Formats: sequence, structure tokens, C-alpha cells
Amino acid sequence: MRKKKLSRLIVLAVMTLSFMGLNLFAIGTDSLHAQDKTIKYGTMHPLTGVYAVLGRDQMRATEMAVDEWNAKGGVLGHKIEWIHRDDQLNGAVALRRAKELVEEEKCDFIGGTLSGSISLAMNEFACKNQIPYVAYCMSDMVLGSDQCKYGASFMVVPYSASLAVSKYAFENVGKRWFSITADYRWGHSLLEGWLWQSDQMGGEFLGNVYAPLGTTDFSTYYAKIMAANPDFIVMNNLGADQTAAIKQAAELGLTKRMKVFCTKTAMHTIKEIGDAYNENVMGGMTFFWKLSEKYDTSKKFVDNFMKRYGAPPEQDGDCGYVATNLLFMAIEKAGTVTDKEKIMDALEDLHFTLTKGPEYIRGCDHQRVQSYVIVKGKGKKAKDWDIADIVAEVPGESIIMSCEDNAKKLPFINVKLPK
Amino acid sequence: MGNQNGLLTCKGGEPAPRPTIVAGTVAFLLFLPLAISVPLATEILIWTIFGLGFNILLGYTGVLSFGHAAYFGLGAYAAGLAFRYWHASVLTGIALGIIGPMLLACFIGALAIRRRGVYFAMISLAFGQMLYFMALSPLKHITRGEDGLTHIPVMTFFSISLNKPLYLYYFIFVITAVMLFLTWRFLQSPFGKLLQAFRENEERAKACGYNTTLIKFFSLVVSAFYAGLAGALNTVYLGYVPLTTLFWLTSGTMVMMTILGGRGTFLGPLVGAGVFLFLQNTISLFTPRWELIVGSIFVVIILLFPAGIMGTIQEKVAAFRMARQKT
Amino acid sequence: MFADIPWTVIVLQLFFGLALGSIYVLLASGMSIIFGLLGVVNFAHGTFAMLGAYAVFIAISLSGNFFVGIVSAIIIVAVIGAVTEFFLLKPLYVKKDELLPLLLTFGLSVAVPDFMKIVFGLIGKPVSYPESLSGAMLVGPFIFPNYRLFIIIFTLAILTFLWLFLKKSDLGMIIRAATQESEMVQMLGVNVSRIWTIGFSIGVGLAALAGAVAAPMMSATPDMGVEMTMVAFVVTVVGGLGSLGGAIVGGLFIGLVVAVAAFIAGEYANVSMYFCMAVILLVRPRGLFGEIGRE
Repeated sequence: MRKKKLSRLIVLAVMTLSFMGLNLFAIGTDSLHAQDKTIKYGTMHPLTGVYAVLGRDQMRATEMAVDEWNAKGGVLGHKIEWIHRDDQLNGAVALRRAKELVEEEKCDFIGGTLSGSISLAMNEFACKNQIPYVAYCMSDMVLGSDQCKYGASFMVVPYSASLAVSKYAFENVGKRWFSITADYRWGHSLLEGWLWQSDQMGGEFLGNVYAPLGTTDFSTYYAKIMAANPDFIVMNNLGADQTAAIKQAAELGLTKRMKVFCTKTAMHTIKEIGDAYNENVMGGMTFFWKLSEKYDTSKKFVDNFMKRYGAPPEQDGDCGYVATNLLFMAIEKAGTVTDKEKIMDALEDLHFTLTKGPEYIRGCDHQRVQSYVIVKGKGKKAKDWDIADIVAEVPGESIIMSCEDNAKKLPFINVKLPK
Repeated sequence: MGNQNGLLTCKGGEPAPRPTIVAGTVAFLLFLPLAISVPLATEILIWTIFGLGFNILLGYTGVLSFGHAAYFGLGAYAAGLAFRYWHASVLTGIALGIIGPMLLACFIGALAIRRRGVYFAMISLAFGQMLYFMALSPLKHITRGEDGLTHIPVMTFFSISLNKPLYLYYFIFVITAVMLFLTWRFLQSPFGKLLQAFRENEERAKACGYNTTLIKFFSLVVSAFYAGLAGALNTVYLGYVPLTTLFWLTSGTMVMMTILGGRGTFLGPLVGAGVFLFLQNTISLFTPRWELIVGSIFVVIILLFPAGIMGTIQEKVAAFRMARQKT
Repeated sequence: MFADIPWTVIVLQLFFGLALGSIYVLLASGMSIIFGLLGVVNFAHGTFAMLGAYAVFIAISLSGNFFVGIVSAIIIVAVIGAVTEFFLLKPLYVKKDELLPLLLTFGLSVAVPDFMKIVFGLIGKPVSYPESLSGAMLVGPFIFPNYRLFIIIFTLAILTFLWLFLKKSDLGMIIRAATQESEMVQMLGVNVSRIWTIGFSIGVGLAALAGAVAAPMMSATPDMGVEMTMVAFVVTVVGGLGSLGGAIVGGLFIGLVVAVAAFIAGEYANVSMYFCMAVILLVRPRGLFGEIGRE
């Protein structure tokens, strides 16, 4: 028995070593090259989890863009094969998907995700593997040391949202403000923007409360706020947190007495909140379907999306659509499908007018410079998708810092956050 | 450990598997990347390691911990922090990833292991959640909170870059094979046999003079070893530590895998990890509603096949053999 | 630090803590009854609360009345609970493994929210505060929102009713007896199995009430149940598994702790709750009011 066991082990060992040898040899010849006739584009979206409705819009918009390009004959004559995966809004899963897309499916380009923090990890992965990555979400990946050649971001940098909304608020409503901030990096980034702008414009910061992610009861925070009596309340949160916060603000009568500004809001949040999202509640988005009344490009985009999917796109849909389009436009401009560096070069300073007014991708940090839209709720008058009205569209140039500043995370890195 | 003959007459439970099974498993894992995607295969390996330890605690000792993500996550963060800030080598990081959770297990075990089954399950959940929320907010200058730990350098092992998927897979494969072997020997050891008897009848084991609290404590720490190792390997694999490694759903996933695969069986962890991850991966290609399907399967398993896949197979095989013997 | 906070704010904070605690009490008393009576740790407790929130949404859409909505929600979910207990949990009792029901309810907590997403979609359903309860009551310098007052008073009423039921009614007496000595009760000819089903229904009915009452504050969303289960765990353990009085004291206590923590140091709000639970488990494992022998 002993001898048998030993010989078995030897056989096993030999098999292992030889197999490893074979594989190491195979791996040696790097095989990431575009197939002759198709380009593979892989995207990740949170199709499960609390933001599934936004992930779905991201996916749909990408699908629409890919179909439109394929209808024109593809990119540089190559058909586009699009693969999408569910990242479950989970960093580990997202990275697994990314690895699958790149290593198994041999995607040439990757895109997507909704979470800013996941986008940082994706960006890092893209850079380690030299695969172009177009991010579909609000991300800090263009700041400081996170900047890298292969990543590009298509929503706004978080601080831009703050700059846009705060300027409007200080100019049109008042100076005294109190904020509720979701206690994680994204929320903090928004607060930094507000604090800086408040300083610049003579705002009076009355205080801030940090609400951990997933807070459902804001009543205790409102007690503080009511005592401070601000001109308006700032919400630096989103999703279910924002829903609960606004609903309870309404419950306590706050939305009747003062204004509320949601630095970032979303259509589905407004719908979820219902009547409580009244004319005193305003929020920011990078895209709202009522832009169709202003731009032909918006009208075309929204109409096409509605025709295909029966509902207007969320801002995440706009983001996905533009990101996908720009990727292919850059490939076309570069004239190559395989030289990834050249493609990223072509993306830099690429100007376009696609879903809103004229925009461009800034060369130094690969950030899409776009306008930020501020909407006002309609309360009981809301019907179907007519849930808000646009009160302002803030131009992109005015809410983004210079290249040097972004590279050093200035000026916000110097802003002291309250305890 | 004295005379154990009385305790060895336990029915049910699994005698340690034969060498062919262990060797066969290793061979199977060897060729796994040919059949499925490499990232998926790698994750199966990692969760198998996690599961081997968890199974020792739940399947063999009978203690349910709903907060094992604490050990997995702590291992992941310990390794991640070591890699990022101290530029530790792979093995050092993994070692740290093992030690941390084991210490935590000693702490939690010392305080709580005496408690009854469901109580311990809830305590472990509480600790797990506490660690998660600590990492999310108060400690976020260390853990980077919701962002997770990024900027982890690419790992190399004796100048083999672990960024290449197949190299990484076989690196983890060797570790997994070692752990399978060690677990196998562990189950064959006197202590392993004691665990099985203990699970069958805790009262009787106590009556025979065994310190049941110490047994449970030891199992807990051993399971933390595996969990920490798996966590550290997860960091090497991802190159990143997401906050979800500490979230209770990670603990819940481990529980589901263990039950699915068959608690108290040697191959249970591997089968559980494989089936669960495979299902999760495949189902989400067709519908995002994989949680509904996996959750429902789990409910059905609890109701109809509580022994899990391997457990049910073994029962059927044993029954078949007994029927055969009678003829 | 406390000096420059007006005492009115502090009182208001305590008030909000009470309101929050009331919801916790509803959750925990339900879980306590289920554990006390059936020995089952209901991991899906928050899921039933979520069902309660959706039920009240449906009921209000059909009837237009919030109070009708709440009552309907309780009844609907209690029935669902009875069905669940009968078909899914009962088969497990014979196996004498107390981990199995916990695991089964865990499976439900994973599957059911996903199912709700299919049926009701991914966007949450808004539930409006009833007109009759909007606004606030002004008592001197204090502004007490009516809805919060309602929560506190209503919970008090429900608990009183529950207490009366358990203490005075025949069924209540049987339930109490079955909680102590189920075998004895069985030998006396009582159909314990049915008692268990009823007990489970009451337990999840209370959870549904908690969910329904909370619905206007956060809308009915499929994933709202997870956190509620965790809270129910914490409060039940702090108060004492199987003790109703403990659930009440525990719920109010935890509600106040979270409110105060949120006020003083927001980032520790969540941790504070688990910290309390851990301390209780280590120092007095049976909970504040629990009985020895259950831990």
C-alpha cells in the first residue's frame, strides 16, 4: 500500500510540473490582440443590488450606442462585440468580472461601473494591464496619483457637482446653510466642494452632520438643523439615504419652510420620494430628459432611448452612451484598433456634441468637461416622468479646476472638514 | 487523549476519506482552469480554503459562526496593509493575514465560545458587523473605508509575476493542495476523530471527561487560520481589498456554501464553493435575479437535503452498500 | 460640549430616540415571541417587516386610508407568516437541530427581497404620511412631529393589547405555558403545533407593523429588511431572548443609544448598537430580562 501511495504521488507531481510547464509556455506569448474582424468591448454594471435601476440604464445606453455604431458598419470596419456583466456593486465581484472580461473574453476595452470606489479599483486594474477603461460614474480617479493613461471619466468629478449647486444656492436662495453628509469619501468630497465655495461666496456654514451609509432615521439630525435655522439644507447623499432624508424632512415640515439642495439626485429617487419632493427641493444631475426642450441632440437621444426602452434615460444612461461613443470616436480618430496608447491620445481634447451642448474630454486628466443640471421638484403636480423642472444648466468649464490643481487635488485637499 | 474506543462507535459522520479521493480532488483542481474561467477557478480555490476551516467549525464541531467574514476580512486587510505600506513579500503578507485573525478568534472565543449554538451565532454576527462598521467609518483612515484598499503593488513570488492569471492560479493551487492534505491528516488524527464524536453527542463527550469548551475554542481558532489565509490570498488575487470582505453577506455566503456542499464532509467545502460560485456566475448571465434562485435552492436544501450535496451522496452510497450487503 | 446645545434640542433628541425605539420594540417583541415560543431565531424577520411596508403601500393604494392600510398589512403578513411556518418551518422541528430553522429563514431573507424586485420593480414605492398625522404638536418650546407621537402612542397601545392578550386570554395563557414547557402543554391535550403557527404569525405580524409604520419615513424598498433584522437581533439579545419586557426595555434603550450616538459622533452610530449587544452578551448573556438556561 505504501509503495502504491508513493508512486501515485510521484505521478501526480510529474503531471503537475509538466502541466505547469506547458501553461507557462503558453502564457509567455501574450495574447491580447484584437480579433481580425471584431472589437470586443466589455462593460460592468450593478444589475443587482440597490442601484440596479441605474445599472440597467447604463447597460441600455451602452447597448444603444453599440447598435448605432454597428449599424454604421462598426468602427474602422470592425464590428463591435459587446459583453456586459453584473458587478453587483461589489468591488470583489467587479474585479472578477474585469479579469474575466480581459483575461477570458479577451476584451480590448472595458467600461462601466456605478460606484466611485469601484471605479478607482477598475482604473488601477486598467493601468496595470494597459487596457483602456471608460468610467461611467462620478469618480475621483482623475485626481492626484490615481490619474493614469488608460482611464477616462465620463461623469463629473464629485466636487464639480458641489460647485454647480452651491453657486446656484448662494446666488438664488441665501447664505446660511446646514448639511447632511453621507459618511464616506464621496460624501466628503461633495462637502469639501461646498465648504470651499461657501468661503469664496460669503456663505455662512452653520454645521454638518455625518450620516453613516444606510441611515434610515434622520430625525435626530433634523433636530439640530431646526435649531440652527438655515436658509437651506444641503444633502450630500443619494439613493435610499436621500429618500429617507427628504421624506423625513417633509414629515417634519422642513420642506415647507426652507429649501433643500441635493447635490446629486436621480430620477428614480425623485419618484421614490413622491410628493415630498416639492418645489422647495432641488437637486443636481448631469442629465435630465427635459434638456430635449433646449437641445436637438438631447431630443434625439431621449427619443431614441424612449422608443427602445419605454422610459427616459437617467443621467447614468447619458454617461454610458457618451462614454461608449467617445471610445469608438477615439478609435476612429486614432485610425488603429490595436495601439491602445494612440487611442487614448486621440481621446484627449476630443470635442463633441452628442447629448447636450458642445463638450470635450480634457487632455491632461481624461475628464469629460460637461454641464451640470439643477432641477426643481414638482410635488403633487408630478405625473409619470414629468417629475421636475430644470432651473439651471451650469457650464462645465466653470465647475472644473485646472489641470495642475486636479493633479494636486487642489484646492479641496486643503479644505478642513468639520468633525 | 486516552482511551477513545467508546467514542469511536459513532454512527453517521464521515470516516476520513481515502487517499484516492484526496488525490483525485487535487488532480481535478489541477485541470480546472481548462474547464472554467481562470478568475472563477481561482475564487473557488480561495473559498475552498475558507470553507475547509469553516467546515471544521460547523460541520465537524457543530458550531455555527455567522461572523466569519471578520476573520476573512481581517486577513485580507492585514495582508493588504502589509503589501501596501511595508512592501512585504507575498509570504510575509500571508503570514500576517493568518496571525491577525487567529488572535481575533482567541479573543472572541475566550469571551463567547461557551454560549449555546444560536447565541454564539448571533454574537459572532455582532462582532462581524462591528468590525465592518469600524472599518467603514471610524477607522477609515487606515482601511480607506468604503473605497477599500487600493494601490496594492503587483505581487511576485520568487520573480514570477503573480499578475498573470494562470501563475496566480497555480500559486494558490499549491497552497490549496497543501491545505487539503493537512485537513485530511487533521481529520484522521485523534483530535479529528474526537471532533466527530463530539458533534454526534456533545453531552457524552463531556461525560467522558473532555473539555468541550476547549474543543470548541480550538476549532474556532483553527477555522480562523483558514479564513485568514483565504482572506490574504484574496488580496493577492484581487490586488485590492474591498470593504465587502467584512460584510455579513460574506459570512452568509460561506454558510450557504458549507450547507450546500454538505457540512461535515471532506469535499463539502469544495463542492459548495464550486456550485455556489458557478451558479452565481452562470445565472447572472441570464437574469440579475440570481439571489432569488440561489436563496430558493438553499431553502429547498435545508428542507429536503439538509446533508447537502456530498452528505446526501454519501448517505445514498452507504444505503446502497448496506442493501448490497444484505443480499 | 453639551453646554452650548440648547436643552430643547436634547429633549427633542430623546423624543426622537423614543420614536425610533418604538419601532425597534415592535420588531424585537415579534422576534422575542417567536424565539420564546418556537425556539426559532428568525433571520427573515426584517424581510417580513419589508413585506409589511409593501402591504401597507398596496392597501393604501386600494383603500386610500392609512389606518386601514396598517391593519391590512398586519393581517396579510400574519397570514403569509402562518403559511411559511406551516410549510417551511414545521418539517424542521422534528430534526431537533436548532440551527436548521435559522438557516432556512436566512435563505428566505436572501430569496424573498429578490422576488419583490421582480414583482414590484427595482424602484421603491413611496408611502405618504397620512394627512391627519402631519404637522406637529407645539408644547412650549418643543415641536413634536405628530407622526412620531403617533408611533410612540400606537406602540404603547399595541404592547398593552399584547400584554392583556397574553395575561388574560385563554389563548394567551396557553402561549405563555407553551413558551415555558411545550411538552407539558402537549401532554395536556393542547395542539401545540397550532400554537406555534399562531405564535409565529403574531411575531411576524408585529414585524410587519414595524415595517408599515416605518414605510412613510423611508419608502418601501426590497432591501429595507436587512438592517431591520440586525436591529431586531441586537435588541432581542440586549433585552433577553424570549422576554417581552426585555424587548421593550431593550428597544427603547437601543433607540436612545443610537439617537445619542448619532448626535454626538455620527460615525459611531451603527457601531454603538453592536457594541451594546457584545457587552451584554459577554457580561449578562441572558440579556437584561432574560431567563437563565436559555443561553
